[in-house]
Amino acid sequence: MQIIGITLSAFALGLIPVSINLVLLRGLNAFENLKSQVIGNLIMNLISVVLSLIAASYLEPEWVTVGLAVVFTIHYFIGAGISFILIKKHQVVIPVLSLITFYLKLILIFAVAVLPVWFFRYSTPGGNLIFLLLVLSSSAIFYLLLLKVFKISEITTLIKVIKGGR
Amino acid sequence: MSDNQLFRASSVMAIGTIASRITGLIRNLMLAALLGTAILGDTYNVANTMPNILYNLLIGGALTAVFVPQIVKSLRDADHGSAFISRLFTVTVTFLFALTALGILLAPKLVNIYAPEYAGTKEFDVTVTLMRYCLPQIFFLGLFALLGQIANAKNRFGPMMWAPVVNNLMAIALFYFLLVSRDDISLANISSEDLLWLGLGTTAGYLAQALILFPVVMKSGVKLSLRFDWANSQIIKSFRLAGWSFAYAMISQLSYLVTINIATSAAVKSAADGITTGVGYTPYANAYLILILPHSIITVSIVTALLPKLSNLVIDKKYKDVSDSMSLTMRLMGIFIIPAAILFLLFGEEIAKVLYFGIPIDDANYRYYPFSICAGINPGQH
Repeated sequence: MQIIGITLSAFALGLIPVSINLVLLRGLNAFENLKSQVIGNLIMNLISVVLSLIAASYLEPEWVTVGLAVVFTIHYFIGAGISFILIKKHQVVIPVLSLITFYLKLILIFAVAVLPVWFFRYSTPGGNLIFLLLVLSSSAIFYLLLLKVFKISEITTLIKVIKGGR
Repeated sequence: MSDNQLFRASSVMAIGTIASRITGLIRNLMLAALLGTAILGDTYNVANTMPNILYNLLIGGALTAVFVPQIVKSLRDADHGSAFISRLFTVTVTFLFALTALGILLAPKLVNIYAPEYAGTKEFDVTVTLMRYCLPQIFFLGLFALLGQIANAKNRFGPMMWAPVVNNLMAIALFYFLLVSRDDISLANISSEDLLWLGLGTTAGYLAQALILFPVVMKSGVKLSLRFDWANSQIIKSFRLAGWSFAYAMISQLSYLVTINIATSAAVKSAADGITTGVGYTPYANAYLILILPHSIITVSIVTALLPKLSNLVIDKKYKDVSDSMSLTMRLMGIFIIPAAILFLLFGEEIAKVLYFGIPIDDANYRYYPFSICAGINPGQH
């Protein structure tokens, strides 16, 4: 279980560069710039292949699937970095530092929202389903409240959109 | 389209994607119950993944993103894009048809490439048969994507996200029918009739998914017809861009090929060690289905609506607005994606156990490892 926890800690954040990369690639698509994307993709996938082969050589067969997932996470982080460089060449200036700060703020806020229920995870009633529902509902409520408390303006924009306001 | 309209359109798509993913998950669970998660499940997954691999490799990238800016540009033509879109439609369906026919012909070679460990075994024959039934999905996937992008360019975003629900419901009905009408299906006893139902039944869902979009495109005002006068500068440019898209996809798929080979080899090696569940490509693919949920629901929905808007801004040379739109999108996306990543980080095991409650605990546990690791990565997709 300890190994699982360590592995999860190392890889779950891969969701972030995957999503960011897709937005950046669509930006490049709008400029009809496919050539740069191909070069960027080549670099990230060469790294992926090398790491996959290393995983296959050094891991026990039953751990290979886990290793391959690790490789994907790493190569998407690299890919997102490359895409940021590529889009900049089209006079598209994404404030990367401000974005990183914003994401770190969100990580901190959600960690605060979810940590109480994580600490009490072994003393909650019911099975996994009830526990998960508890996690999702409580963390969502605390998260939204904390976003308001910390005056994250994007949440106001979102609420306005959901309500249909302009 | 204002940012508010964009995010409202994204909300509609997100709800459609949620419905699609929930039904997709049920479909996958029923498939696991029907075929198991070891070798037989792998044969179906390899066969049923092949249309997606070929589609993504050869034309998916172009249809998903590359042609959109061109369709958007053509909507400013005097005929509101009808001539260009009709030419693009004709070229695409012709290519898809040829590709499907070639794939069916070369099915044994494809199995050899993607699952070389199967050579000379019953797994090989089963995979080839299933693959031939599944390969027409290439044609229907391409048709679905092209019609969907035309609809998106005309700001009709919902149907493309809802159509896959129909596909999933058809597959669920099929798997349920096979579950109740057949005794325990295994590699040793699976019949030709079972393979026919499984393969063609799965493909029928993709047919329905594509056909649903025809009336949507017709109602959007685009006059779609077959046009074979392809010697047109816009079409030539489309081909050139599609060529780059092919190179992009080829690189991704070669990398993915390595992944599949390593995963299937690991399954065979584990089987030799007496471990027959929770290893190989199938748990990877199943975990991936859950992993991709937040990415598909949030990011893909927003980005699908964003691309036509970005294309218009680029045509108008409003680069500052492009920067602002992309920045805002990333920030709004982060509000959902960050919690999802942290939840996978901390509660992956619980999520996997809940979603795979009907499957032996070993399988659920193994699915959970890569599930928490990848958190929404789609191999080969860009």
